[in-house]
Amino acid sequence: MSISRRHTINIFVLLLLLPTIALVHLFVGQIGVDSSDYFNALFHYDTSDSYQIIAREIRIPRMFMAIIAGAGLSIAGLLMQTLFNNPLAGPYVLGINSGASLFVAFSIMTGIPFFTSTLGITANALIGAFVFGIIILFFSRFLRSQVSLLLVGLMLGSFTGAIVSLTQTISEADELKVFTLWALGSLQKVKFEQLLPIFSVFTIGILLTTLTSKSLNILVIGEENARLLGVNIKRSRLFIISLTALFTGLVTAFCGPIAFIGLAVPNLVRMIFKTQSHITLLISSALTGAIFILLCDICIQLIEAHFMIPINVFTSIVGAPFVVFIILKKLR
Amino acid sequence: MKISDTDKNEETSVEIKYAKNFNLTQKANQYILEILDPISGKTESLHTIGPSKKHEAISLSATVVGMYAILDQQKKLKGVSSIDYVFDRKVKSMFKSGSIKEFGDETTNSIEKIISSKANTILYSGFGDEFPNQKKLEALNLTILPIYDWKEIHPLGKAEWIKVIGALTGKMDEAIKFFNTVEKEYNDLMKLTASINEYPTCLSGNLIGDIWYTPANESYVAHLMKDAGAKYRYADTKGQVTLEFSIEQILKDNETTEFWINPGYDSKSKIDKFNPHIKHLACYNNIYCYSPNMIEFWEKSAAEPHHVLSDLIHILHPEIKEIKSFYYYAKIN
Repeated sequence: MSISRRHTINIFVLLLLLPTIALVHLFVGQIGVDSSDYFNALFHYDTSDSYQIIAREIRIPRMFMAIIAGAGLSIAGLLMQTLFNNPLAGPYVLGINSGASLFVAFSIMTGIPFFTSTLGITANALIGAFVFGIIILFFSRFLRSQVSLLLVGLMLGSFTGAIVSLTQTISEADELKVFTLWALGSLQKVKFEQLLPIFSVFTIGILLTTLTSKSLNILVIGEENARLLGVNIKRSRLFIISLTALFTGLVTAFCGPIAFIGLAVPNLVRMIFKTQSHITLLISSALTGAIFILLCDICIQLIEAHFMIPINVFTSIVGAPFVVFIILKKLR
Repeated sequence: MKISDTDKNEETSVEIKYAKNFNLTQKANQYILEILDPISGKTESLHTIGPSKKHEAISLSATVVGMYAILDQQKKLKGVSSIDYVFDRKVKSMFKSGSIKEFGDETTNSIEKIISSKANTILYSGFGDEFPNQKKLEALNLTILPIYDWKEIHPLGKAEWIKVIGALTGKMDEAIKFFNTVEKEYNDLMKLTASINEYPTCLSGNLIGDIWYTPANESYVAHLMKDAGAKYRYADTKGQVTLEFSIEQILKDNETTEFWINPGYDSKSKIDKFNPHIKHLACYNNIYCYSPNMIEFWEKSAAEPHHVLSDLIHILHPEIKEIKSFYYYAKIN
């Protein structure tokens, strides 16, 4: 499906906004880092200059992780909402994040070095997100009501929360510390050298997602009708769940659980674009999600002199009222 | 047990030189323990304690367990928070034989288990709130004592809480003797740094989430650093609170800082995992922490601040030849 002229203009505006806000993001913080610091940090890196360290090791990875987290979670949310034909679906609400957290908790609590390494945590987050995606997909076969599926997601979240708490009570102090710090979440834990592999995986995920846009467009009219139109429902479902797990697992592994982005951003985009074209929704959700987290993080940096707010807390403060608004709008 | 004002007549104060959060008064063969609110300094609770009644305690505080061990009164312990956080061999052996049990922390303990233990005193690290089910337990004649040693600013103030354990166990003379020895050794160690000319700069704390927590200049850690002949990087701050900084601020402020004390990890690989950006600072090559001996440190360091001071002097001033080895600290590699 082609993108209409109005949507093209909207996407173009978002495409202009993203680098502009990303640039502003680079220059917001407690320490005044200027453009020459960024230039030197990239081309003449001097590890004895704290400004260059801040630029290269903190600000640049933080900016890219904000973009990846915002875009990734928004796409995951959109995929879930279309797959389950439920505007209130999202990786956080349906327990996909919880699955990633549970598997990470198990891997850390084993104390085995591989499982506590970055690779081990990432792999477990991806597997956990995928397993819980399959579980929610399984339950969705027996549930007709949209609310029931959300309740199942809620129960999965509570169940994993309880198991994680139980695991924490029997774990050693060291493992407990590792998990607690991971669960706090952060956009700035990623090292500069890790950006390339993370961004590569993210880009592959984006490219694969564009391949699903046609199936997603047809899924909107219902699975039975989609099947009649030749869509391989089983394969599409598995592919969509895998992509959701990829984005959610990747973001959760490196940034910790981030709430409400996956739920709020695709709904916001639908309200603005008023379209069912998934290529439009995918692109605009990714751009809006990235811009949204960048703006949240800019706000955090601006108020950081007074008190510091974790990104997850800030997105919840902003996202939760918006979700209530969506529910009220639907009830009307 | 609460004391009425009219009972306070024939009292002799026990000398408390450094601790700010309790007063102890001898009355016949008993003691009146006045626990003070660490913030307001006002009386939080009054307790009659002493050897006239059989003392059997549950200690949910590691430092208190250490003080019972110093006074060789482990036999008066009925329980600890978790045996995993106990260093003393005698307490561990009593746990194995079943005479000491685990009770969890303030949030997870069971009131039924406490009652069935027949202990008559519970000691826990106070946070200003009542102990869970405090009223019910007091109605059963249990004495609930919040311990504020961790809120003392002066290192010797922490150690002075051993006098409370001395009063509880009937070993006040031994407690005073021990404290006087600690005080003398602490002051002797301070004399070693009195004539130094160079004060190396020190950073403390670490990142938790995105926030670097480090003590303010009027804190216990800053006090120790000053006594050890260090220039604490945040010596220009005031108060006893924990300061919060972003990693950017820490990197900017500590370009020339020479030592990093107490990062909370026992290896650089663990530090790198949660704080990957700090490795460019010079102090990354001079990290020292008690973490390799963490359980022993938590249990014994409050009562033995002279050993902590000795370690810090050894780290910061290796030229002082009188100190030859560490008690708790180790270089983190």
